[in-house]
Amino acid sequence: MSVGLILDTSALLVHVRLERLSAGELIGEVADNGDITGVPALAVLDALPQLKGDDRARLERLVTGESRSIALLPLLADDLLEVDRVASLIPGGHGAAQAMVEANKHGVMLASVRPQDLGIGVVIDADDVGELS
Amino acid sequence: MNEDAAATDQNPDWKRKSFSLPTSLAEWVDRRAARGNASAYIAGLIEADRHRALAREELRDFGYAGAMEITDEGRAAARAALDRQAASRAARRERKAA
Repeated sequence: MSVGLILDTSALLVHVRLERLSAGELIGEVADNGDITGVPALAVLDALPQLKGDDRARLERLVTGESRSIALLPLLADDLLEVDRVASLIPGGHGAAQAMVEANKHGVMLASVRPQDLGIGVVIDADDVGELS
Repeated sequence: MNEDAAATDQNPDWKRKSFSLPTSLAEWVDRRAARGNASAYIAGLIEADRHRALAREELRDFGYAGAMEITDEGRAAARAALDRQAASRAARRERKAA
């Protein structure tokens, strides 16, 4: 099973808050294709303090439970310096930085609701960013 | 008994079942599956179908239900977006290699 989509922190937040249907549609379509949606570990750490109640419970379930559609992507030692470099270039924080590094590494779409927080044209190609409507 | 049946009968994780297929589909299985691997080929197709069904169920349980129900139109739009990204990525790779 391959990674077919990456969520940045903003996309992860709207997914667990059930605020954008387009997030579920993308995740479902990736699963239909036999692939999995990757959630960077640093995006989870950025998202957790912003969540309460049922929303936080949904994220905790994603992280601790077995999922057929979503996989947690650990921060690997080989990616540490690149994530730090990217984070210094963008306002999106370490979660968005790891998301971009992962999207570039896997060659897949990065889903976001805050593309202005990403280094589009510098760190990632505009065509690789899918803005959730 | 062919090699395929013998192999699956000896594996405790496999159960031997008998199904009928339209002739054209049975011939397709023969063409697609390498010699002796028809069971593995069919199991792969069923596993993919099961994965899709369970993933959809998982999303419904997660909360994509009722007013947030995922529609066929939404899925088609998502598929188109994923395809556009993949095509753009492939074109950039080709340009870089040229």
